[in-house]
Amino acid sequence: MVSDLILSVILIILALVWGYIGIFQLGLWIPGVSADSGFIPTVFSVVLLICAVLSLVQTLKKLREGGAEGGAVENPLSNFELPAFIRKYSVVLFCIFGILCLQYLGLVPMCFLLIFGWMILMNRFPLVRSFLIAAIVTVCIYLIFDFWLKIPFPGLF
Amino acid sequence: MLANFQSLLMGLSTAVTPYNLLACLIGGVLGIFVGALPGVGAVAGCSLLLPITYKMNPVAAIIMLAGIYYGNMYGGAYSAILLNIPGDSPAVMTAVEGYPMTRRGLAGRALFTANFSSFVGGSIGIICLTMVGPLLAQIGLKFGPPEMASLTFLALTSIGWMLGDDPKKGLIATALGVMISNIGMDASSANFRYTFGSTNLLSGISFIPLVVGMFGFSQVLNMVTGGTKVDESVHVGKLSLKESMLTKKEMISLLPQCLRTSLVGGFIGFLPGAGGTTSAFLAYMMERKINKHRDEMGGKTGSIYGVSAVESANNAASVGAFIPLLSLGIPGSSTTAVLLGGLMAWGLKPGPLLFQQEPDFCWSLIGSMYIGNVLCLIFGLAVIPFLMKLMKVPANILAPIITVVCIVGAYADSNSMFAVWTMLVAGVITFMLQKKGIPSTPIILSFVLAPTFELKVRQALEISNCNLLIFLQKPISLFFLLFAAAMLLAPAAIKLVNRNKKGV
Repeated sequence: MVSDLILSVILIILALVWGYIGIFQLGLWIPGVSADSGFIPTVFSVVLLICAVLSLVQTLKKLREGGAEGGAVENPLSNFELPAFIRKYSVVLFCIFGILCLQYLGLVPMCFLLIFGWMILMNRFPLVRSFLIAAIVTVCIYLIFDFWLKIPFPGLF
Repeated sequence: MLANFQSLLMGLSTAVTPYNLLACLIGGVLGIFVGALPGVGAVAGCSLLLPITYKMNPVAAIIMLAGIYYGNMYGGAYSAILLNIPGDSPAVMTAVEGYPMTRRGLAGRALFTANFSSFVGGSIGIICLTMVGPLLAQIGLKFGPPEMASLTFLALTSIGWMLGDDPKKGLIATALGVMISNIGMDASSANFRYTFGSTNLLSGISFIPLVVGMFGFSQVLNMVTGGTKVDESVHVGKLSLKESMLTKKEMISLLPQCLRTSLVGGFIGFLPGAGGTTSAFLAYMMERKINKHRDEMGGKTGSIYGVSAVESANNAASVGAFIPLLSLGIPGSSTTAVLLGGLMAWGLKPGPLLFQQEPDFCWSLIGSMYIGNVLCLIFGLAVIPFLMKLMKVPANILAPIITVVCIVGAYADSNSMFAVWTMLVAGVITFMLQKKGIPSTPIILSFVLAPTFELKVRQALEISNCNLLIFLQKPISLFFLLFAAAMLLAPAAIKLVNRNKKGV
């Protein structure tokens, strides 16, 4: 419930920023010529604003009803599960690691290290199996994207 | 009509020479393969494979290019069905209907349906091209900016039908999609918008990194956090082609809807600038309203009828896009724009005189489409067992592989690291939004449709000196607007009728 509230507030801020830039910086209308660059963005920012405000009101109503009935307002950490949280963010960290590897080392090290590391750390696979999977996938990706399609990947290798 | 038929026979005789047949086969197979690669897609696929044709004679080269083009259309569905990563924008709806089937162990049936419907849709599109191509192209010219704006508005409003129980969330998703598409250079005035001083945002957010992140990487996050149970996320379905095939009854039941959606797809496909996404999406929405099996559609369990609607419309549209390309020299989609480049590289000038000046070339190309469509179907069906074996790979091994493919696919789109970061951010935000019940499909659909909508609205206003009534004064535009109004008001009207019924 609290996260719904936060999401609604973020969407309202986004809609306001979009609308403000649309109206005051880009302009809505060039009289006698056409709509200006800010016209369509402003229209849709208004749609977003209305929906987000309605969503916020609905969430606040639910929170108040929960409070009035003596029910405890939901603790934002009540559904928190540490293993799921760690798993989710380790995937994001693995992806960031992969992107940095691609940028500074190149395609082959990125593919191999990301898959090998994932197999060892996330899946707890044996070393040899992890190595084989990582090596096979890396060769396939290299052959398709680098050797055949000749996409100019960054990095050293 | 008879003259067209005779010309077609002549074209077919040229297309079936061993050299041209081989060019068609290689083009089709390469097209399917590249189209199936997540992140590459039809436009990039055609562009990457274009240089292969440079060493060939013009007719064989164009036949191969066309093979690559419609092979791409076949292949785009594969990654959408198997990995939930649409290869191209029309395949977004294929992912919505096809991937749930994969998770139920029905990937083979989904792939078979996609191939079968692509074949039917493609065939109907080619027949239209053969029989009434130049005539349709003239009708297409009657679609000026007001008509195109209203048609796109109709497509945007029909997103409302996918919103489910809470229209607010769907509208939020639609608005977000439009707002993301606003980032970058404004196509009408060349002003830069919402770039916040970043040079990376000057050219806007690319479709491929966005879709790869929203559908592919968010799927990985779902897999590992238990949104989709890792060990159960991909079931092993039936492995043989025979067991993946639809029954005769199912194929017969698919035929009328394939015909309907192909006609819709072909019609929208030949409108310059409308493209496969609008046609696939509108055909899908139409089927969700009128199909006998509409209750199965909607993405919860996936349905062969949903996959079929999208694929037949998409393939008919992809062939339909050849009509303005050949008859008027106007590319109907970005992929046909690449083909236009290929044609011009061979010294051909697509336009009203092309059929008169280069009949051999035109009819050989159309003839090769018939053959290529059959070859793509055969190859598409033949690879199903191999693709099904891919599904035997457990999800915990598949997750890092998909992550790598997401990174590489996002980079391959524009050779930019910014695209890869975009993919990551899009994936994480989509994952969070999905947890709050905000659907990702309307975001991507409105992202694709919004630039056309905005451009056409502003062009219409420009030619009418800012008169908003122009949209009501043009009959075709008025028809689409009334249709859109009905789409918007229908849910409320249905609710009211149901409430009255209950009251009685």
